Amino acid sequence: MSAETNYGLVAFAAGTVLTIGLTALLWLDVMRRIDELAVTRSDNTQWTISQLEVDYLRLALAVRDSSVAEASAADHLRERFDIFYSRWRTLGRAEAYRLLPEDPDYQNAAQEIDRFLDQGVPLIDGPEAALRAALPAFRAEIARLHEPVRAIALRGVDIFAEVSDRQRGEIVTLILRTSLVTGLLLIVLAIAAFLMIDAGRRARLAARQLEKVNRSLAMIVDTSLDAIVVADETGVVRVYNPAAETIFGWSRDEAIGQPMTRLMIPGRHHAAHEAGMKRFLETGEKTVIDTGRVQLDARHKSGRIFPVELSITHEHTDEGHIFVSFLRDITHRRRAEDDLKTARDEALAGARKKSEFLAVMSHEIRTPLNGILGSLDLLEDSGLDAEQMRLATTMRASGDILLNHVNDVLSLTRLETGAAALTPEPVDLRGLFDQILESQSAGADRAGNRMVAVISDDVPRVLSVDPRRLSQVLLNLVGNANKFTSDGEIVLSAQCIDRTDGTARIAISVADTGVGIAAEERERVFEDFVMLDSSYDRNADGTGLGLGIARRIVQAMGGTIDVRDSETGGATFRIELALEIASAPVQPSAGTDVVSDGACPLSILMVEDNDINRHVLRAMLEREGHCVVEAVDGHAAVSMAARQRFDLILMDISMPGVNGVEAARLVREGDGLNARTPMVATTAHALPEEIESFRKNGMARTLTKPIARDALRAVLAEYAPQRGQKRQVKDGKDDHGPDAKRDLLDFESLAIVSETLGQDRFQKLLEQFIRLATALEARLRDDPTLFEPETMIADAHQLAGAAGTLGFPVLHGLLEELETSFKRTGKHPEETLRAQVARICRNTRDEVNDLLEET
Amino acid sequence: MMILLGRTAAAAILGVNVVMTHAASADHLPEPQGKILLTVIGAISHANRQDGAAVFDRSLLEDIGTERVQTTTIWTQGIQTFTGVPLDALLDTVGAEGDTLRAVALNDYAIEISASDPVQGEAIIAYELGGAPMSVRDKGPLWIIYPYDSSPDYQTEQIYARSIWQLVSIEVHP
Repeated sequence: MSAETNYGLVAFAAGTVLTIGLTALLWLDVMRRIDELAVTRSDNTQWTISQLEVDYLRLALAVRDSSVAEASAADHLRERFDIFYSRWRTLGRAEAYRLLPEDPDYQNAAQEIDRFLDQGVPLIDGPEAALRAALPAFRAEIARLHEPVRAIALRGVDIFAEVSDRQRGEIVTLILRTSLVTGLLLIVLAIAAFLMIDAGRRARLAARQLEKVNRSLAMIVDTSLDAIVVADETGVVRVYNPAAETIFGWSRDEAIGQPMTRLMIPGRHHAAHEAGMKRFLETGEKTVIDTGRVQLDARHKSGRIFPVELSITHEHTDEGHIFVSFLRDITHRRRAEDDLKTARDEALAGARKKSEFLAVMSHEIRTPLNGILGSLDLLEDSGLDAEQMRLATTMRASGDILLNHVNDVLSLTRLETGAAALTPEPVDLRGLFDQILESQSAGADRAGNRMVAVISDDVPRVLSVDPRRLSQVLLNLVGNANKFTSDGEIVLSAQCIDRTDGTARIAISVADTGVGIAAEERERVFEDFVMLDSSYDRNADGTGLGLGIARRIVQAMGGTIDVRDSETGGATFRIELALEIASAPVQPSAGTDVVSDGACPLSILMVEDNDINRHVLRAMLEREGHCVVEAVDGHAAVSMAARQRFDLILMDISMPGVNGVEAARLVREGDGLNARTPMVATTAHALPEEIESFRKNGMARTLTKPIARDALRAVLAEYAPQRGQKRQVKDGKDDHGPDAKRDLLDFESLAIVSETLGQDRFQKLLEQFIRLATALEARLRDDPTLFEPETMIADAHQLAGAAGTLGFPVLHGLLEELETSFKRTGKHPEETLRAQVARICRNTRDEVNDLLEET
Repeated sequence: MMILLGRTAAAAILGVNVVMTHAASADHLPEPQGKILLTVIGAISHANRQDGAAVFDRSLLEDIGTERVQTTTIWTQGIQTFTGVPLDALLDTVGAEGDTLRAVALNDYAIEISASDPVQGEAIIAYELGGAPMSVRDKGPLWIIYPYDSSPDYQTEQIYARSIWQLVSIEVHP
């Protein structure tokens, strides 16, 4: 019902009431009239008025007749006089005639008649003689009375006619009015009747609609696949659809009117259900009601308990609370879920078994393979003739290929089964790149290629990435580049494409100036076992899996890899990765060769805000063999100083924010780890006053930029003796640097050994050492996850013995560290240590080789 | 035949003062001594004149019975007390056998009254107004009066027409 309809109805109702009121009033008037008409306050006025004249005439007659001298005549006269008199008095006194005196014509006439009667009364009442005597006069008077009487009569007629007509008129008007209003009322009532009929019709229509809706709803309820059960607040079932019959087993007749708990809820839940219901009815607190889908146990008629998914809503109606629940038997679903779980577990178990198998197999395959290759090594060094050497080389080539195949296949399989999980750690890309180029340096030299690493400044220093996997990819790419390029240039570069909160999108490219890849081959190269022909004598040691593996790894990291033409004519492989910017300060990782506990002469905190300066200084320090930790600003410097004890702090002075002087002061104050650590200031310009102020703030020395290597070394040398006991081993100095190599060999020891054993045996010993060192190096560079460390450690032990005897102190110390690490943890030693040992192994071996060649 | 109900009903009516005196029932009416006021002729069974008429003087009328009616009338001012003989009683006295009465006045005004009309029950033939006899000028000596105030039934033209004054005779017709 719209508002307008409402107003209309209200207005109409008001109108009806008004009309009824009006009609009532009019009918009241009518009733009054009827009452009035029921009585009259006048007799026949016309008659009385005309009768006046008659009585007058009779009197006049009597007067004329009284001339006869008879007693009866006089009586008759008197009688007539009296009659006339009484008639006149009636006219005067009676109510009905009250109108008359107001009329002026009447007044005059009335006065005359009054006068006549007044005069007449004494005569009439007097003695007869007097009466007789007065007769003539009387007669005259009577005659004169004719006019007034007539006048009165006529006037009266007029007046009463008017009155009568007016009354009639009033009545007619009243009747008309009443009729009209009644007519109006009838119309109004007719309209009201019509409206009611219409309303009735609409109500019927609405009822039909409602019925239709109800039927639809009933149909929905009946055909619903889910059980629909409606219960009232006492828990008695009111509505129970056919689906409920199927699910719960109770027929509709059995269910309706019964308490729901007894029918459908397992016995053990009765108490909880009742309590929950009670709580809800009392407090309105909803735990299951109106909370969406809930899984519970329900009870079938047969007593079987089965799982259901249900949803309950609640409504408050006129008749109290009702609870509507939709229930679904989820036995099948549960079972399916359970089956799925079982299948999944089995699949996982299968996968695990597979990977275990792989691990075992890898070791089983690789161990004899290593044996073959190792023996081949020894064979090669055992003095073969040219033919034998050729055969040995062939064997080696094949053996290497086989090893690569096995490694690649195992890698691939591990990636496929997801057994090779990524283990990201904070990595400095610069260091990683350096390492890669270094490991490829032999191949590059052979092909006459120049390799360059370029990292743009906007690449965050520390990124969270799995260094081994990334290295694997980059090694593959760079290796390929070297394969397909001769006398060219290979550029390994990294740029930052995009940088948001904590994540940087990095593009790493390997661009070469080699033969390139034809456009149609670009997609194919990534496919497994695809190797493109090249016109050069290629190194047939590829399996065609390299790029496939690389792509899988990149994809596992969430990145993309593709190949495109480089401007320089060769091929450019480009990787895009989104990497998290690691917030932790970098502990120099696999890329760099410095480690915090181990063979650093000095652990140095380098504070420098300029990227290039930092890079250069770090390189210089590392060349000296020191362990470097970087801080980009004073703030970082202070926090790092608080975290770790350094042997030396190199503090750049001019930095934004907290400058070097401030940072130095902060570090000096308090009882932090580095409160007494020597600090050296680095600055572009230093006036004597400034140097003095540096000194006052705890920086004993100042290096001016650009820093010369000698100056740096001098300063470092000053502090080097303050190494302290925490470092193990190494009575040697730097293990890396142009003069360092010599220090790997203690010539005095060597000389003694040589003298003791004699030339031949000495040589043989050296050669054996070389072999062992080579083998161990290989082992150390291997993926530690592919084998157990025990054999390697045993080898290391053996080599340590040789190194000790022969006089390779650096190597010896490192090998002991290796052993100790394994003894402590039972696991492979850390990446950094292994890399270091491997390097020293090689260097030492190289030197021994040199030595052998010299002699 | 005669309306006796009217007399019983009269007790509940406002403004009517009823004084009952027992009429002396007589088969043969006594003869009048004084001036004859009313002559009743026609179908009557009791007469006191040779021609079969019943004539009444003042005292004869009083003997029949007295009733007082206190009422206003359209011809008088204020509430007046009329004393007279109930018409029914008179008709009983004369043994009227007819229903239609023709009342005639001095000036020959005549009116027909239906005696059985229930309205008639309360009619009196008044001979006294306010305790004094009525002269001709006062519409006497006899005036048929109804208790007008007691009911709207008495306030109709017909009743006013029947309120004949200067009454001289009643003719009883069958």
